[in-house]
Amino acid sequence: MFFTGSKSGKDERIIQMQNKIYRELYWVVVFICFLSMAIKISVFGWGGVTIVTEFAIVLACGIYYLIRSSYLGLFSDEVETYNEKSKFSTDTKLVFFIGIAGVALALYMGINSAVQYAEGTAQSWAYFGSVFLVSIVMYLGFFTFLIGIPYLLAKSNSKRIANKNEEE
Amino acid sequence: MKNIKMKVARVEKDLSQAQLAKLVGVSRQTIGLIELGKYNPSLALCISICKALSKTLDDLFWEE
Repeated sequence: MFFTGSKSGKDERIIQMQNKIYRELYWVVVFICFLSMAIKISVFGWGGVTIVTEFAIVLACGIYYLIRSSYLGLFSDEVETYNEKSKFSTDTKLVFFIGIAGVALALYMGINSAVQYAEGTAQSWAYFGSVFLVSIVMYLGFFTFLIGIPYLLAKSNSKRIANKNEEE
Repeated sequence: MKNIKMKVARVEKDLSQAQLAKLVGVSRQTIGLIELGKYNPSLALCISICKALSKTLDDLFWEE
């Protein structure tokens, strides 16, 4: 029955409703993954258990969507539509997010190293300063590589395909 | 808003919802929901329904 390709399977209303369910299903999967990660961490602690599987599921879904929407020429359209409605462009928000995330992590690492390993105020400031500087360079680079470059590549690829589709 | 024009055109053609559904390749429920105004069909489906009922888009889907 599932593989016969019945006529009712082509009903646009059914397809629309199915797509709506699949959309909700994605959020159910993400919720279960985060719930599983939260339970594992709360029961076993950070070091006692691996959360790689859950993290990989969530990450793979995001990467798959980015690649598919980019190759369908949809991603640049989404960005364009979002930018028309929003006060700040996605590019600005992304730079802001990468900056905030990089500074926050560098601050955490700097404070942690000053509190944990330094002796006396002068050494605390020195540890904080050096760790903060190294961390900010490292994390800004890391987030740019992890988020910024895939975003720019997906957007430019999507724009190229969208233009090609319009020409045809 | 109910699509009375479509229901009248279907009855004039002496078709049941199931028969019209079969002609345009959707489920009976979809035809029922379009007639009740609870589902907005795509332009492609509107055209299929118009062809099946020998009507124009204006006849069935344009509200004065």
